Amino acid sequence: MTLDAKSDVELVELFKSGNTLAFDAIVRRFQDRVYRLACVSLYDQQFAADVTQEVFVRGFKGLRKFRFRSAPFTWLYRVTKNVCKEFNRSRRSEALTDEPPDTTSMPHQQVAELESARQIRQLVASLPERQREVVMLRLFEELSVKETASAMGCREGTVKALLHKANGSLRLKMQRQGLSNE
Amino acid sequence: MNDKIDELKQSYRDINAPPHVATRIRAEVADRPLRRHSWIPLGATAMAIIAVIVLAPIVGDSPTNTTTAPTKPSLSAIASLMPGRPANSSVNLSQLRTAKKPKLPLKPRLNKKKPQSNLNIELEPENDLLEEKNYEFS
Repeated sequence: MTLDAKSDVELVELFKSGNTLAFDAIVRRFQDRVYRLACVSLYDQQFAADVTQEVFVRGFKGLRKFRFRSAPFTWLYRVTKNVCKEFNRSRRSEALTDEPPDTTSMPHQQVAELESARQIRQLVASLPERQREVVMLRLFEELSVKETASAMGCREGTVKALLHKANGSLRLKMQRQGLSNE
Repeated sequence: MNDKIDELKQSYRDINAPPHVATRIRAEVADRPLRRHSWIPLGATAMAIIAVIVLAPIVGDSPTNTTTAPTKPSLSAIASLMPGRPANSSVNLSQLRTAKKPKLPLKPRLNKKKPQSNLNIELEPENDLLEEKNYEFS
């Protein structure tokens, strides 16, 4: 059985027992998800790559003490959220605005990714932070209600209520956009 | 609305981490050992301190440290060996025992007949009465 075929928990257990190849498998499995979340949160691919690196470096330290109270990705999501906040804080202190990066010298793939991130950002921008988080985890990352609740540190009922409110807000926003387009 | 979200979801799924990210992570992590060994110097220091604390009393009781300084003859012993002087020039114990203390001066005695009082009250009427009584009996 190859490492890639193992479950998340099995991979973390292998890593904890000293198998460094298991960590490579963890990186392969989660790097895209971490990068996407960072990309939407920071709207900068370079920063998103830095955040992804930092998350896994912290993961290398933290997963050795992992107690399996939550799913490994849930834990990584929390780390990602914290690192993104730190990067945003440092960006603000450097007085950089949330301007779109220059896409003229970028390859087509990167431009498309940035455009996706921009559209998602635009969609959830009007939502309060908790609702935004629920939309990202439940709709885009397709986590279960239980996993979303664990990642956000709240109850499952709270997740359902937040998602219901967020859906209402998004529907209203899209209707308005449709009317304005017409 | 669902179509729009599905479309966004699909484009979201297309976002992938660049391949250099994994390489950078691997390079960053390669220098770090999986097992921590930073406790080894601390443990060695702690063991050394404990050893010193435990062994200090044992080493302190060893005979090398208990050797006393060579005794010298006392001055009185040297003096007793001198021919021109009496063997025992010190004071006798009996003399010390019988040494008389100088007598203390006697305490000043109060006159018992005269009652001591700050108030100089004379009890003359009483005396008079006594005298009268004496007179009656006589």
